Amino acid sequence: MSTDQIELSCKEAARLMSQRQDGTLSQIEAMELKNHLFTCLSCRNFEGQLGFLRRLASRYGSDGPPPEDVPV
Amino acid sequence: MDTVENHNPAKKKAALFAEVESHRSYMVRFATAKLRDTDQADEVVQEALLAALDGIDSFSGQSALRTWLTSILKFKIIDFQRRVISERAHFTSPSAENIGADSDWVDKMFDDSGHWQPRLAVWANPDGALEQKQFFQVFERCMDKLPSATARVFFKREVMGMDTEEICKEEGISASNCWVMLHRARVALRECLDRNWFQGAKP
Repeated sequence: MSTDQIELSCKEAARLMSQRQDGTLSQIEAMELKNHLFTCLSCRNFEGQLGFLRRLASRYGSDGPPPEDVPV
Repeated sequence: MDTVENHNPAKKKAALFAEVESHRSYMVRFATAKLRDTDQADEVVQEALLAALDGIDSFSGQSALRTWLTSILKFKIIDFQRRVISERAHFTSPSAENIGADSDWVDKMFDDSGHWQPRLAVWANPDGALEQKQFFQVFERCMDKLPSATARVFFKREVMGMDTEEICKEEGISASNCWVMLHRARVALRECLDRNWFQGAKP
């Protein structure tokens, strides 16, 4: 089975990347994802953007937006 | 401690009050995520803001103001929930209908063979965006466009930092539904930020 790998589509890869942020992937899933990311620029961009979205949300919940127009 | 801003305590306090007020919309979102009802959320936020202004002298400035306000708000929400539970049966509406309703927006991002359509471009200077107030306004507008249950699950996971197990329990949904909703939220928010910020921000 392992040699006869079916390549992941971007759609599946995206779902796995999202799931990875909330839980864990099986070893096979993790490997398939890694292989896919190696060859797919769009998905590498998605991966970075997911990470950014997480930082954005957490920043939003802690400091909030930068206080650029707070009166001095 | 003899700094310029300390010379006028009244003025300093007014500025702090204004700053407290500026966190109201965030707090309403936070409370709505927990209570699922904007009227109740408004009420709790009002209580929390009053308590905060009352106790503003105890704000040490060591934590961010938003973090401090949120801790007061959390306490008020728990207090409110206790009151409500004792008054009437807790009403929950499972979000199954939302899961169906928004089922195809993820699909629309891909072509028939499952490739991104269009391809995803790299974002220019995302860290710079985190320093801009307007960017956070775009983020809020993007969250507003999500179906309410999806927005709530995303908010709990990514803004409040709750783990998925807790979220499932509160929402009365299965873990796989929870993952599906989170994934949809992320795909939609990514798309919305891309369209409303990063596409215009390219160098």
